[in-house]
Amino acid sequence: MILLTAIILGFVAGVARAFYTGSTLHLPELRWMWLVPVAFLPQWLAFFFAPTRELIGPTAAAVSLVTSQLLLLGFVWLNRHAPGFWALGIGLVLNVTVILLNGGLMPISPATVTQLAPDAPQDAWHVGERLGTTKDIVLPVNATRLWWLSDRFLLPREIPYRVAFSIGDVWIAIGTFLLLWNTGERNIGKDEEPDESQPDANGIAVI
Amino acid sequence: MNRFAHEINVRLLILIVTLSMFVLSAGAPGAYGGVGG
Repeated sequence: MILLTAIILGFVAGVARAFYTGSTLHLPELRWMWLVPVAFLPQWLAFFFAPTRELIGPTAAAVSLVTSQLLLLGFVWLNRHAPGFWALGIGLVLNVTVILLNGGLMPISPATVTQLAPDAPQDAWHVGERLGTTKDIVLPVNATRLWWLSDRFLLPREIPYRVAFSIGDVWIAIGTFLLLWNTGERNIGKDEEPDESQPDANGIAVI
Repeated sequence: MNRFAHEINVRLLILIVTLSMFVLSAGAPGAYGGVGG
């Protein structure tokens, strides 16, 4: 939900920017976009679609997650020159790194789970096991490699939606926002004729 | 003009849907009792 919120905020900001600069939306030309739904499919089955996620065990879930994220890394690399993709890449690399180093799922500490779900029954989760049908595995901090990259942040208590997220998720949110924010950028040459009396990037002016 | 606007709308929709799938797959926020995203 927090990452989808970044899409909504980025879209609204991009449209507002285009409106105030008198521009139109300029959508990025992304390459190999079909890789994204292909990468999403195994995760959809393992984590999102209720009838199948209950059936998929932790090993298959880990394979789905890692395979999917490696495909997304390829997509990010192919589009690395598009706005915001540098931040998307940082976030994805951070998440993939901590996931790979901890057995294929995103680690979360027992203390964070307790804060996340204070009312959960005692046997609802166990250390060393996947947290429900999420992408997380409950691991103590001292048993987690690169614990500072794990799901260790929580939203302020004032926000009713309870979610734990990683620093990689923050970078992905930033990249998403930047990508959509840039759609509203004023683009000389598309929105208007350039002022040819001004020097261009090479210092050349047409008088 | 309408055709241009229609094309932009379709491309924007594809971009938003693709980006949604991307963040749901690339991110890994954990929400107890459901899936973060």
